[in-house]
Amino acid sequence: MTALLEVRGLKMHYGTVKGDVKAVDDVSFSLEAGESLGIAGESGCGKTSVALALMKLQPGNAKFLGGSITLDGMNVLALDDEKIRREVRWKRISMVPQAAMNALNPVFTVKDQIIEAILTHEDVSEKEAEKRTLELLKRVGIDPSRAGNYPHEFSGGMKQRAMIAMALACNPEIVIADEPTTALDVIVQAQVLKVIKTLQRDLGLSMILISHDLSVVAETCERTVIMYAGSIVENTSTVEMFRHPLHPYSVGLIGAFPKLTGERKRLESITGNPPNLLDPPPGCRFHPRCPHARDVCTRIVPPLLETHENHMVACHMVNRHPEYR
Amino acid sequence: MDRGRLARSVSEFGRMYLGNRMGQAGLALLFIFIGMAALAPYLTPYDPMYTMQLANFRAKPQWLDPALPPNLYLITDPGLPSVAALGEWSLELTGGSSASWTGSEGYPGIPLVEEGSGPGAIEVTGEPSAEGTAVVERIYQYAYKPPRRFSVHLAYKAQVTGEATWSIQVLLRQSDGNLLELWSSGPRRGSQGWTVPRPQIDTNDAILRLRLFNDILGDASRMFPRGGEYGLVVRVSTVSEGGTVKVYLDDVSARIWGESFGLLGTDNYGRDIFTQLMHGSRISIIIGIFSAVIAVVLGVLVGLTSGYLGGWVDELAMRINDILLTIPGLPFLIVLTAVLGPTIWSVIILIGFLGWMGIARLIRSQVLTLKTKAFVEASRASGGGTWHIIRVHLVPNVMTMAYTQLALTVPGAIVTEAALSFLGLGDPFLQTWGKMLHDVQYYGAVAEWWWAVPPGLCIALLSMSFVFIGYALDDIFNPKLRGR
Amino acid sequence: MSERLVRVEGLVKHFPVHMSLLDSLLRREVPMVKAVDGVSFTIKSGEIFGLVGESGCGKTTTGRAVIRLIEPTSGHVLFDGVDVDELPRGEVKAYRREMQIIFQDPFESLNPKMTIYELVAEPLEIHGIGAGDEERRALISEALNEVQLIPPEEFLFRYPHELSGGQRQRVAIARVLILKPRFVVADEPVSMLDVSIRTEVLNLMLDIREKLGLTILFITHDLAIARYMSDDIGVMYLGKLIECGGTHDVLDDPDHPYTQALMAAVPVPDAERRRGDLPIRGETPQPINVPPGCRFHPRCPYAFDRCKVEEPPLVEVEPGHAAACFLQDEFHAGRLKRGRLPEDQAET
Ligand SMILES: Nc1ncnc2c1ncn2[C@@H]1O[C@H](COP(=O)(O)OP(=O)(O)OP(=O)(O)O)[C@@H](O)[C@H]1O
Ligand SMILES: Nc1ncnc2c1ncn2[C@@H]1O[C@H](COP(=O)(O)OP(=O)(O)OP(=O)(O)O)[C@@H](O)[C@H]1O
Ligand code: SF4
Ligand SMILES: [Mg+2]
Ligand SMILES: [Mg+2]
Repeated sequence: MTALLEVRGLKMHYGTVKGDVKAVDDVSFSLEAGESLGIAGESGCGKTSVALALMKLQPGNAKFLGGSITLDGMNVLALDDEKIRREVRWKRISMVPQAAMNALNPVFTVKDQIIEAILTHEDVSEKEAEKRTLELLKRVGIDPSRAGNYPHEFSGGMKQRAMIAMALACNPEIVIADEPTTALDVIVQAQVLKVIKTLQRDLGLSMILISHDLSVVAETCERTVIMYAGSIVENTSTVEMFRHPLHPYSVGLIGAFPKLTGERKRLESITGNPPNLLDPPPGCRFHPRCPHARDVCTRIVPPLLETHENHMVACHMVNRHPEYR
Repeated sequence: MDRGRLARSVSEFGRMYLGNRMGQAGLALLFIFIGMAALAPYLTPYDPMYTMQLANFRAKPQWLDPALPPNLYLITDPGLPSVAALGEWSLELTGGSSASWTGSEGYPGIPLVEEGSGPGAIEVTGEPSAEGTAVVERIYQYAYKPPRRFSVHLAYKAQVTGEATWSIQVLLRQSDGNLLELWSSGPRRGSQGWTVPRPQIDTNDAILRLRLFNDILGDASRMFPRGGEYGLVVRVSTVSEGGTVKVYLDDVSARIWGESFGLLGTDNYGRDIFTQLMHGSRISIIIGIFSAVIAVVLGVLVGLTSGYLGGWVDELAMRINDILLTIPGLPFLIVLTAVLGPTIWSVIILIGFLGWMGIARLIRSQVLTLKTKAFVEASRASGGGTWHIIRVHLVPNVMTMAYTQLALTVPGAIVTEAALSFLGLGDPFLQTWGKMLHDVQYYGAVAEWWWAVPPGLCIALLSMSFVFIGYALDDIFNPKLRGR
Repeated sequence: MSERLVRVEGLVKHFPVHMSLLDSLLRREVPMVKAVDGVSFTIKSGEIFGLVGESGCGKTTTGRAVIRLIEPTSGHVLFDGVDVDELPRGEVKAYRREMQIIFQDPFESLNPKMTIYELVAEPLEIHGIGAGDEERRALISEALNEVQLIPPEEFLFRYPHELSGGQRQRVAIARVLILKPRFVVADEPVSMLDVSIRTEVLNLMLDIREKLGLTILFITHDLAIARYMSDDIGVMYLGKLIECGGTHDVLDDPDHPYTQALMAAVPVPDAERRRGDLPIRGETPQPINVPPGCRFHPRCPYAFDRCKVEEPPLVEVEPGHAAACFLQDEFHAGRLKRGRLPEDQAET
């Protein structure tokens, strides 16, 4: 079975006056049909950049330096913009952008904005579009009677749900949700996550959920990818990730989260600070903060290898260190 | 330790400033004007206000038309300090006259009116019991377009013993041989101390014009209608009835008033326009900077206090602000200058006092946001009082804005001063750029672009230099506007 | 020293929504934001009290009112048994020095134009502590050491933007510690920091508490962090404490439906422990129009008629554990299952 979406060696840098920001460096992962994948990592590690690259919505100063993005056998990077706009974006891959709730236009009703989105991408009658809009809103838990409201009459959670509905407007196969719950309170966050999970299951969507909060990913996704400083350091099933994290960064990150249940013990923290992507450390980008780093780590970039079944890690020491397995 | 830090941040600022295109342009322009202001006395020897009659009124720039006459002085050495000075004159004697140079006489001048050259004069002696004339003539090659103004000066004295009459005539021999009598003393008896013709021999004298050309509107162009050989003739006639007469001539000079002068010509009083332009930069810079400083200092003070204290202080300050803002500025200024008198300092103070409102609003809004900044609250939490917070946290943070505003307020002040002067409400004893424009307009010289354009251009360029500097500062202090 | 260092009694803070000149002239009734609406709790000396709740529930306002950064509308704060309001003027400053606050955003709470030296020296200057540069410098170095900015010389003359977020928050902590306070309010001190550096700052605070015997009011919206940090915990909803007590008692056996809902809503970084369904709907209303009766009743799945008219008081369910719900004893005794809807009250 080949994957629905296959990203290989993706490399995208941002040109700035101070030099290149190496935001996405040799990123590879795949997404099966109907799978939910979570990308977790700290702020600024390149999560949004990966998502934008998948949609080819990268900012103007971005440079693709290599790699491929294959959607159902079709290389997205090779397509011209026109074709992507007509055939890929919204129809096959759609996105709930970061801080999406603020992206709603305050002068139009929520309903009109979704209808508008449908009409620009699909050749359907206005009636049809309206019908579909109301259906979508109902699906994300917004009462159709409120569809005619203006965005400011919606609460944060409702706006976020409306944005999810909009992303679903053209029946895409893949939905990317970038930090869908970041600005929301826990209870509302739980409601939105529930909507996302239900939709994913009911519609058989393939989904990429991006969050800096590991627990959000753990709650929602079957598979988890952890990014650090522009690269993927570990990729495995969510259960495995939390039960047996292998990469020292994943171990540190998971260990650094206080738990809500169980025994209260002192948390071990990761020392140091995340690197500046203008000038990341050579070799493994985590080596200055890594407790297991050896000489080789400072020189050679560890490749992302399937060291255990269905478990990919980018670390030189993963099989050598007795602490692991 | 701290000094190193300061030096570093100053040099950092310098580097950023010089890396900014607008900053470079603004600073370069400003330096030109500052150079102009500083070097004005060295660049031109004249006074912009009081050195008049440098050439004919409204002479054109010298480079505009080389065929226009510059200031021409027909006599090289009018003071006759030595016998050699007589060399430029040709002498013709008839009858019982003799003429020679004497060192024992000389025009001493007239106190408070003009200076004389002192010893050295021409002495014409009429023999007893004879008639005679002495004619001195200065031949001159004229090679320009006709001038508008011609004037002759001479001083004379007569010493008579016994019975004798004498007369002096000043004539112009034109290129076609025609003789024009410019002035005559008429036959006189008796002695006469050193004196000069009254009124002066000058084509500006309407009576002279009327007499010479039969036309009150005629001018010196009828005297020098074309190029050729002209002569200035002074004829001294003596008739002795037994006595002797000695006539002395000194300081004989003749001037064809320049129709072209300097780099930018002259104004209606024959003052040098270039000089006015140079000196105008001083006044504009001074007025611009001083009134902007007043406006900014006021604006910062009002903005800081009303922003930080809030409440009724704020309310009051902002209402006053509103009132001043809604009063139309220029008419208000006009009335105030009329009341306070139009000296440069009152103009500066007025512009300053009427220019702080916008700045105060800006600073106030900045303070309002600063006030809610967590670091201000943090300072309050560690016990900092009002003055501590204003001094340590607010002032340094609004200073960058104040500098920017300073640069951006200067142009407004310059233009306002120019407008006041243009309307004739500026300091009457200062020739500012605005005043120059006023003169252009007043004397209907709009077509004389070399007069009309430079002051306007200078106002625009100097203002622009400050605007550029302001934008550059803004760019540096508010990095969010800076491109990635 | 009394065992209870800080005692908050009936603290209320209302903000006028907007008072225009016209309003005040006409003496119009101005709508009030009831940010804090009667909060009482005590903090034991040397302990950390965690104040949790969703955004806008009044945590920050409470914290600021407790240390008198803002004037409460009513209510008292007793510090070491003394009501600061009733002190003679001269002594107030000394008391205020003992109560300090760490702000949420280290990118904002440090003046960007000042060096670390100047920043840490500022409180000394305000209170006239330390004679001469020499002594101040020693104090500053000591404080920077305390917060693990080592070696201090390396940081003294940097500007905040030359530090990472975690380092900035340490500077903010150093500014507070240098005054040797006995009580510190920490308002979401790590919520703006990257995940991987949060733990360091949290551990630092725990260590300092241990070493200096500090008493801390720790404000956070993150239940897990509250659980990690605090000895006692208070849960706020719409300006009121609805449950408070020992951290274990409150979080492990929540007796207020809101606390239960929060606990159920927090995502768990553990894929195998999926939570049950959520009985809570809607979002927190604005504190301008606080619902009558129990302020939680419009969202509470257990609400019944009494909740709509009568406000449940905060009373103990067990010693040291109080809640403000009419059903708290039912939950406590296990007659109602926590976080699960009783069948008969289920709604469609
Ligand atoms: N247009 C751009 N030009 C230059 N650098 C950029 C640009 N966009 C993002 N970056 C930088 O690239 C890096 C990755 O950014 P990205 O937005 O992908 O991170 P992220 O993981 O989504 O972070 P967050 O959780 O804060 O959204 C960051 O260091 C960011 O500063
Ligand atoms: N100065 C003020 N003027 C008016 N309303 C205010 C003011 N400060 C706070 N509020 C309001 O009071 C309520 C409580 O605010 P507070 O900041 O205490 O909440 P919080 O629990 O700390 O929230 P967060 O988690 O977002 O920091 C909010 O609705 C807020 O809008
Ligand atoms: S490769 Fe080396 S430095 Fe990188 S995570 Fe593994 S052990 Fe640490
Ligand atoms: Mg992002
Ligand atoms: Mg808060």
